Amino acid sequence: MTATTSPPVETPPGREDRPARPSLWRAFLRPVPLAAAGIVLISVLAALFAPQITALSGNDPFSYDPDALGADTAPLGAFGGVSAEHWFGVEPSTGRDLFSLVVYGARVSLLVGLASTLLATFIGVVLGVIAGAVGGAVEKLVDFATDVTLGFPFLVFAIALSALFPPEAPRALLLTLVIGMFGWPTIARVVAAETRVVVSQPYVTASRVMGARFGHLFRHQVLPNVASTAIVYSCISLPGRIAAEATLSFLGVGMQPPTPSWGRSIGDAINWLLVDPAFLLFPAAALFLVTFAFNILGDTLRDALDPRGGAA
Amino acid sequence: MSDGDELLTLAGLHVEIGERTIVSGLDLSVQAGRITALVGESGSGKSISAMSTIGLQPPGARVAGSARLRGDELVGRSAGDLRRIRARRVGTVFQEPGRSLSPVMTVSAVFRDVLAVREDLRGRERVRERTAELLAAVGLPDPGRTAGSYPHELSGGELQRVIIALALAGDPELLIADEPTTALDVTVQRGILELLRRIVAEREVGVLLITHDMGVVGEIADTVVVLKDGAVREAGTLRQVLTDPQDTYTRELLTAVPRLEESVAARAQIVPPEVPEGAPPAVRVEGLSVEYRRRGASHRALDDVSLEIAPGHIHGLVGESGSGKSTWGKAIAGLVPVTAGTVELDGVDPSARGRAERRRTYARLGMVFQDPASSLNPRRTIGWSIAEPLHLAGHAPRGGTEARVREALELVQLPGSYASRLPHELSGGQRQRVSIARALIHGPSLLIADEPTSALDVTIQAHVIDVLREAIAGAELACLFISHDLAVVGSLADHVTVLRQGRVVEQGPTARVLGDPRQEYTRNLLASVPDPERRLHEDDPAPA
Repeated sequence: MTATTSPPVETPPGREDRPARPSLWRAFLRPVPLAAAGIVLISVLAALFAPQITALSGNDPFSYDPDALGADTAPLGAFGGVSAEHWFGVEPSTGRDLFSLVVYGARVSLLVGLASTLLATFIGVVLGVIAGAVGGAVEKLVDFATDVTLGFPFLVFAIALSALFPPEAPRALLLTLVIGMFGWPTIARVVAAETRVVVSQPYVTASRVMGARFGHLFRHQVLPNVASTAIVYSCISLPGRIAAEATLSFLGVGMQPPTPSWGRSIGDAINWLLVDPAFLLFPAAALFLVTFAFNILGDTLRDALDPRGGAA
Repeated sequence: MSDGDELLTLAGLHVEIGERTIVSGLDLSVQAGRITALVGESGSGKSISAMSTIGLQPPGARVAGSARLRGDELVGRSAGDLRRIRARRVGTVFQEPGRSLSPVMTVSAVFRDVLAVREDLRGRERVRERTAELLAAVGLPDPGRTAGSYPHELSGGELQRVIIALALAGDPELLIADEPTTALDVTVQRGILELLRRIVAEREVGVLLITHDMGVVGEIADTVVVLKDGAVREAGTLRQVLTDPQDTYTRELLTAVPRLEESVAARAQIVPPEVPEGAPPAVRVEGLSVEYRRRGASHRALDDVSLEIAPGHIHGLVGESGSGKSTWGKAIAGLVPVTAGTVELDGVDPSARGRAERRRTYARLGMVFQDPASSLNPRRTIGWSIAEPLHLAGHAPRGGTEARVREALELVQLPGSYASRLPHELSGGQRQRVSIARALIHGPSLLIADEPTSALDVTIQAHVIDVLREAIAGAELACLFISHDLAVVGSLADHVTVLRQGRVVEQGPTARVLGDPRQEYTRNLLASVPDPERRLHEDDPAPA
C-alpha cells in the first residue's frame, strides 16, 4: 500500500447527481391492477354519489314497490324482475330496487372496511413497534394480548355484543370498533418482527450510542422502515374486513334494516335461492369484485414496495 | 502447460442475464492434479462462470461458448445429463460452511443421501465405513463423533472439512471451490488450504478455486486467471502473474493486498503524536469482564482485560471470531452490561453518572460497523444520516448543519452532492466512508471501528483505510480499531492488543507485538496470514 495508490474508481449504481427512482405508479400501469383500480374507483364513486346514481335509475333503496312483486311476493319477470325500471331487479318480499341496494351497500362496506382497517393498523403498528423495540416484559405483554385476541372466538363475541347493544346505537361505528379491535394482532405481529430486525441494525445501534431517545428511534429509524410493511399488510387485510362486515350483516347481527348492506342482501337472497337464484347474483358479485380488486391492489403494492423487485 | 491432462477447458464462455452480459469470453483450463484460481472482486462474474459450466446458472441466464470436461461438451447439455455429470464427476465446496448443510440433518444422514446418489452405495454398514473413510481423509480426527453430529455442533473449520469430504464422495475428477476459506479464521484457513493441496496431490483431482484473496491464490494456486467485469484481464502461471503482472488491474489488486511486514515497517516510521502531560486518556478500561447469561448458563466473553488509548492514538484489537473483540467495543460504548471493571471516557465513568450526563458522555463516541449494507438507515438520505449526531446533540443551528455535512463528506473524499442520495444509490465502499463521516462529524474523542473494511473488496479496502487514517490524523482523536486482519491493523495502529477467548494474549506497540511477538499464539496467528509470495520464496532455491 503506497501513498500513490489512486482512489479506485467506484461506480455507484446509478447516474450522476440523482439517479431516477423507479416510480411506484409504474407498477400499477398494467392491465390487471388497472382493472382492479377501476373497480375500486367505481365502488368508491358509487358510495360517494349513491343518491345521485340511484336517482338516475329513478329509484331509491327505501321505497317499497309491491307492483313489482307477484302473488307469492316473488318478483315478476325473469332474473328477479330485471327491467328498464329496476336494472338489477327487485328484492323479494319487499320489492325494493336491488340496483339502489347494491349502490348504497357500497357505502357501508367501504366505510366499515376502511375505518376498521385504519383502527387495526394504528393499534397494530403502535403495539408492534413498542413490543419489538422495547422488548422484555412489554414484549411479553403484547405477545400475550395478541395470543388472547387471536384465540378469542370473534364471531361469537361479535354476535353477543350486537345483541347487547340497543338497536338505536350507531351500527356502523359498532361494527368498525368490533372488526378493528379484533384485526390488530396480525399487523402487530408482523410489525413487531420487522421492528426487532430494524432495532438490531447497526444504524440504530449507532443512533443509540450517539444518545438517541426512544422517540427519535421510533420516528426516524423504526417507523420509516416498517411503514411499507404496515401499509401493505393493511391493504391486504382490507378485503377481509369488508367481508367480515358482510358476514356479520349476513348473520343478522351487522347492519340492521332498512340500511342497505351487501351482506344482508346476500342473507335475504339465500332464503329465496330455491325460488330464483338471481337475487344472490348482484350483491354477491359486488362483494366479490370489490374484495378481489382490493386484494389485487394490495399484492401489487407489496410487489412494488419490495426493494428486490424495485430494481427496474 | 499443454500436457495431455486437460481436465476442464472453457473456451469463450459467455453468460448473459436479460440484456446484461455477465461474463464475456472466458478462457480457462484446469489440469488434473493442479489448482487453477479464478480471481476477481465482487461482481466480477467469477462464481457465475463456475456455476454456469456445470449447468447451475441462475434462471433466465443464457450460456454460450464451450466448456469441456475431459472432452465432453457441457454447454447445451440437457438438465438430466448435467445432473449425472455433477453427481459423478464434479464436487463443489461453497463459502459459508454453516449454510451448506441442512441444520436438521446429522452429518451421517447427509452422507447416506449423497453416497446413494454419487456412489450407488446402500447398506448401513458399507455407508458407515465409507463415511468414516472420507471424513478421515479430510483430516477429521474422530470420524464417528463428526458423523453423529448436527451442523451446529461442529466448528466452522470442521464443517468445511465435512463439506470437502462430501465433495470428494464419488471420487470426482473436478472440484469447484467457491471462496472455501473466506468465512473462516486465518488459523483455520491455513489448515483447509493445506488440506486442499494434499487432496490435489493425492487424488489427482483438478481444482477450480474461486477467490478474491490474492493471499489464498499465492498459497495454493498453480495457474491464475484474473477476472474483472466478466472479462479476463490476465492469465498465466502463479509465478508469472505474481512477479511480472502485465495488466494494470492485476498490479492494482496485488498492491492493494496489505502486507504485514511492509505495513509494520512503514508504520514504525510514523511517530504517534505527543501525549500532553496530565491529560486523561480518551478511554481507559481496567479489569473489564463481560458475562453473557443464557438459560442459566453463563459465558465469559471478556475476562479481566485492560487498555488505555491516548488522544491521537490508534489501538488495534486483534483476534479470531469468538475472541470477544466486538464485545469489548460494545462494552466501551455501553451497549452491553459490564460484569466487573471500569470504563472511563475522557476520565469520566459514564456508568457512575446520571442519565443525562451518561448520554452526553457516550455521545463523545463515534462508531463504524462492518456491514456497509446495514450501517445507514435505508429510508433516510446520506445527509440526514451524517447530520444525525448533530440533531441528537441538540445544538444544530439550521444553516450550519448543511455546511458541516458537506465538510464531513469532503473529509471522506465524497462530493457534497451525495448528501441528497439514499444509501442504496452508493457502493459499499462509499457507504463505509459515509459511516466514517457520520462518526466524525460531531468531533468525538473516541472512534470505535468494528471491522470497518472486512466486507469490502481489497482495492476498496485500501482506499477506505487511507481515508480513515487521514481523518483520524486530522481530527486528533483516539481510535479503537477492531479487526481480524493482522495486516490491516499493522498498517494502521500504534498499539495492538491480541485477544483470545476473552483474554489478552499480548499487548504493546505494534512494531513490537507484530514484529517480534513474545507469545506462541501471536506467532501462530502471524504465520497463518496468507502471503501471495511465500511459496515463491520457498520455491526459489529449487524451482519446481
